[in-house]
Amino acid sequence: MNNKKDKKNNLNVFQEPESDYQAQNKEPKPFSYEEALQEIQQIVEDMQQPSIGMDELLKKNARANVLIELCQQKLQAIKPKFDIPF
Amino acid sequence: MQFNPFFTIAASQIPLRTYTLYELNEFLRRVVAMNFPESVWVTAETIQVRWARGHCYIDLVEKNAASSEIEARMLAMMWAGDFRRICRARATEYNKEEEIVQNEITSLLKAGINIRIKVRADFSEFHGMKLIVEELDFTEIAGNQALERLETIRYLKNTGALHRNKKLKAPVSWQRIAVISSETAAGWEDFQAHLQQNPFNFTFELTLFKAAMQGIYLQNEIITKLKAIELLQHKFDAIVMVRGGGSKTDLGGFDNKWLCEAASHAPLPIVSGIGHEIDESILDMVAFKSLKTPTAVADFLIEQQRQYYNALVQARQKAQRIVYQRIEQSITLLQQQKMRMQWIGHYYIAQQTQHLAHLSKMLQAHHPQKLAEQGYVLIEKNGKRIIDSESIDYKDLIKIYFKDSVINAQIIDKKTET
Repeated sequence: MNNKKDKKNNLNVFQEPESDYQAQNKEPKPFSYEEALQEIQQIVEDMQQPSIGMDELLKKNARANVLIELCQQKLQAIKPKFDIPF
Repeated sequence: MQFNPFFTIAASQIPLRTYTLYELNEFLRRVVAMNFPESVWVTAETIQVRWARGHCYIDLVEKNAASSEIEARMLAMMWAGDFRRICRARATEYNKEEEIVQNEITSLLKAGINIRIKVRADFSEFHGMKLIVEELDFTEIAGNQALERLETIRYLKNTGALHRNKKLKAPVSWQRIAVISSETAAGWEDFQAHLQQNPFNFTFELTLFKAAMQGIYLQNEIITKLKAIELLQHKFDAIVMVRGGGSKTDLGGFDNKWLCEAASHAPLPIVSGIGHEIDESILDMVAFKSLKTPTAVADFLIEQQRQYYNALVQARQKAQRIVYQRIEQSITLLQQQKMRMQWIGHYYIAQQTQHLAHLSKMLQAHHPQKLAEQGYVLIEKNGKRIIDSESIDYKDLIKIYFKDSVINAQIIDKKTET
């Protein structure tokens, strides 16, 4: 029983299931910032719905985190484009 | 006039024999010489005036006042020596230069005028009958000429011809010139040389339309050339009429009514340089611009081209200035737009970053682990979260998520507390 518990502890109860993107080890292409943002907002909204199951919730959360990361990267990437000196 | 009775007596006494022509002419010469020992004043109209080697040959006529038919005709001539004597006397009388008087007389004496002259009848065996001019009545000549000039000017004024050519729009460039002149005229040579030697290296395209610039063919030839130029008007910017050389040449032809009228109808501006030391010819009055000499005409053209060149330079500078200003304006505008774009970009990035951070926080806040760590448990039944007691019943199997484990449980009792 303890072993099982430890195992569970190690596994982490709320471990995020592997998302489709993570499984495929590649980012969605073509990446659209607007679409990604829309999706994140939708996920945040969905997560507040009681009907969503735990697995789904964790899955969506993981995807949203990935998308946020990608969006941040995109913003960082375009930032120098607005810093061109005259 | 005294008539010698010798002629009638002698004629009746001629014996019936054949004479040679010379004998007859010699006899006639003697008759004339004896019967006309003194010179007389005569009035007549000139139909042709020619100058040769300083001598002047005048064709005199008298026309019938009613029918205008010629009733009498005679050649008169003024020897060069007599002409100089007359000029000298007049020069002394009016305290003028002799050359100026010569010019005056040559310009006044022309075909188609009424004159009063003192003549001596002369008959030579070889040339036949002619009158030798000894004196000229200047008042009469000048008066006629002045009247005719006034009449011509009045006619041109009434028909609008006097100012027609002047009202033409000056060409932008005075480069392609139709020149009416005599090929051999010194003025034409001077004109060409002066243009070629212009200090600005301007190029002029000269096309010579040959015409007599003196004598009886002057009017017709110039009118013909004006018509020829009219047909080729698109090839030229202006018309130049030049002549020069001898100061004794006749200017009267340029007062001709029909020539001046034709010139007024020219489609291009006329610049005249026909020389008028004494007086302006009517053609000068009609011309767009009248100048004294061919050289002055050349100077005028060069000056016009210089002004045109300056205008071109100024226009180019102005155009450059405008272009530079536009470029500067565009650069400024672009910089402003770029700055604006930068600002918008940075603002957008900041806004989005903030928004993403907010979303991230929201995600964290709703993460079940976060809730479990705060002591909340999540209950799930048949793969769906349960947030109210109505969704579960007695004996239902549920999953309870703690922060460190999941417990499968069964409802053994349900008591709803209010």
